[in-house]
Amino acid sequence: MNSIKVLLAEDHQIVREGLRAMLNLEADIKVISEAENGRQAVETFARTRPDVVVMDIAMPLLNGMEATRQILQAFPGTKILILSAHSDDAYVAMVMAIGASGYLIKQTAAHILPEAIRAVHQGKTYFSPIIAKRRNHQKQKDHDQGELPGKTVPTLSTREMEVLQLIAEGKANKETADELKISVKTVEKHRQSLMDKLNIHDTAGLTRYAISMGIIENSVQVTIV
Amino acid sequence: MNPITVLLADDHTIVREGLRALLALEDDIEVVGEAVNGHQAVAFANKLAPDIVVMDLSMPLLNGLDAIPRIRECTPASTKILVLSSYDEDSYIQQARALGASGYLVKQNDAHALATAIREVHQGRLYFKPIQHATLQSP
Repeated sequence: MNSIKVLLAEDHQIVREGLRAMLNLEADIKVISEAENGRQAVETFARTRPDVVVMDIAMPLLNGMEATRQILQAFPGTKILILSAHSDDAYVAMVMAIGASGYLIKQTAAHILPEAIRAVHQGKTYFSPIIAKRRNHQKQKDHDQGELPGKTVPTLSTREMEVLQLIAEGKANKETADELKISVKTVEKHRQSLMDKLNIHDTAGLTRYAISMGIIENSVQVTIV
Repeated sequence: MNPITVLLADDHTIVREGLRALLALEDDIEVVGEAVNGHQAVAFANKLAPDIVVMDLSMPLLNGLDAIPRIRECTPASTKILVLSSYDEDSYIQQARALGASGYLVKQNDAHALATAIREVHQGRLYFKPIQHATLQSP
């Protein structure tokens, strides 16, 4: 039997090594490539064509959500398993709407990971047990109440999401333009457009929004937990 | 020689189990306990008196920074605290040091750096070289 080829996208090397060490114990799973940010995940995917991508969300330069969207745009049907610290329902729903095949929270026990990789490889969706339980419960509730599930989140284009992340990481327009290989003028245009859509009109507000969306990590939470 | 005993404190189970798997490859290091929040880290450190507490900062109920002085209070001086965090900001490194941590490492490091840091602080040395970050090479 051919083993399932996996791309690991996670910015923390020690976490990536730990995941690889655990997956190496599985006879039918092989980690063939790794990426430490979303941009690298997109490039590495195209180059190595794994069967399944294990994707962290909070990564620098390009977050896992956007990387997922870009991979699926170029390669529809790709199996992407999200690995995130965030577990709230609206967030999970948003990521799944992009087209991910599964969602694991990092609080999940490690033995679930190979199980989830096998499931999404077979075309199934897979959630951490705690999320699966809540989703079933919510589905039942929606059914009983006859309501449509999910909240509405403003839809940003891929470019707007990329610009948002780089602004939130503290990059100037010029740096953002260089990173995305577009003009400063275009960056300004996207910045204006995403501010209008989100109705947020200062950089601090955008940073808070990016943190709340889980696309950049919040070092401040250490002091306010 | 007795192995260096380690308590791992990190709220992300999948990360903790990965660290355990990596440290299991080191003959001279033994993980003797795991904690999922700061309160547990303090309680287990008190109960187990491990040589090293490897601790994340961002944890529920009691964060890692606040847990440092409490662990210091209830453990002998031979128990050393090594912070393993996502954050590389100087302010955290300095606070951790001031509160009584013996070392600080960021998660961008590899497993080899963690084992080295554990041995160093176990020897009674300070290990504050958090950013030894080699960029991932394209295969």
